Amino acid sequence: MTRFKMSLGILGIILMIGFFSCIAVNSRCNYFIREISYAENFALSGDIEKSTESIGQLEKQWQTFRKKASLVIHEEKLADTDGIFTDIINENDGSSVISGIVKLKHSFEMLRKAEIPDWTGIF
Amino acid sequence: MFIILIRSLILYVLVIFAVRLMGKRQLGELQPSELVITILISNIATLPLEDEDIPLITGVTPILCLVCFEVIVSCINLKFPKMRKIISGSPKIIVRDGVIDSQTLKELRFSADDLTMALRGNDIFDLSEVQFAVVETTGSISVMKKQKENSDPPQVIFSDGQFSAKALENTETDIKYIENIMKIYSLDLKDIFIITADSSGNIFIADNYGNKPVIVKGKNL
Repeated sequence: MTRFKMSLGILGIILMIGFFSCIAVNSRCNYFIREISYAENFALSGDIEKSTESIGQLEKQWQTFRKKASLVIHEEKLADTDGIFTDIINENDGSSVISGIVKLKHSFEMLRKAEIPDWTGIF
Repeated sequence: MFIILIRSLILYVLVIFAVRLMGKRQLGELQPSELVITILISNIATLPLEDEDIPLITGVTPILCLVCFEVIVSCINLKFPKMRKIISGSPKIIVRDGVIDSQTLKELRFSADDLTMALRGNDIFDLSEVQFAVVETTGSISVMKKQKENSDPPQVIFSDGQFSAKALENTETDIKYIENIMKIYSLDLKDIFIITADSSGNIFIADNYGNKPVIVKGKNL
């Protein structure tokens, strides 16, 4: 019976970790998507410098989040987002910045979706 | 390099913990589900060891989940005999009273060679020496040699709060006969853990409280 109780306890802990990691990743990704949208608006209105600057600030926050996220998210997915951030920061061409921002937004949407259990994810 | 070392240490501790949580069983005595879980665990554990990009938690979570499911299912099996039968199956008698049950052997996909090999594993080289043989749920074969009495081994006629109609029929035991014994020894079925009987009328009754078992020899009440 001790083993049974221990198993239930472990499963409970795993469920809690899964639940809270899902919520945490979801809310942080939503935050990043929102901030990227602001940067996208700057870029679309022609203010490329301000757009890359805000992406640069976002990149610092991303690095902090990345360390925690690597506990639950596959390194490859995080490295992809890393690469997109670097591309945008080092870019001066307006259209490239805009396409980079769109990619970045999509990348965060994929990260968010990866943590939410759905039919495509399960099967 | 150090990362792999630390990961290996963590997974080593985890796998030991997982095996301890599953309980003590010899490898050859694993139930089918336990065998599958053991193989799965060993496979899953290697993934985060081989690939540093895989978070350790994605290796740890399925190992713990599988072991916990296994423990929970085995506890459910204890409470519900029907569930146990579905998951682990039931022992099959392949030799009864010295007669080989070829139909059961076919069902189990056992050839004559498999049977003789299993018997040799039990130090029996002559089929005529076999009184009774059973294929256990783990796949191992238990054999009883012929004795002077020529009686089949006792079978469990009562466990988990209910009588087994098949075992009662096999041992030619009447429930009324058991109830008479219970009356004589002032026992109640609710307090009984197990009752075994053989075709010679030998009865063994053990209760849930660890009291001395009641043993009735032959049909002498």
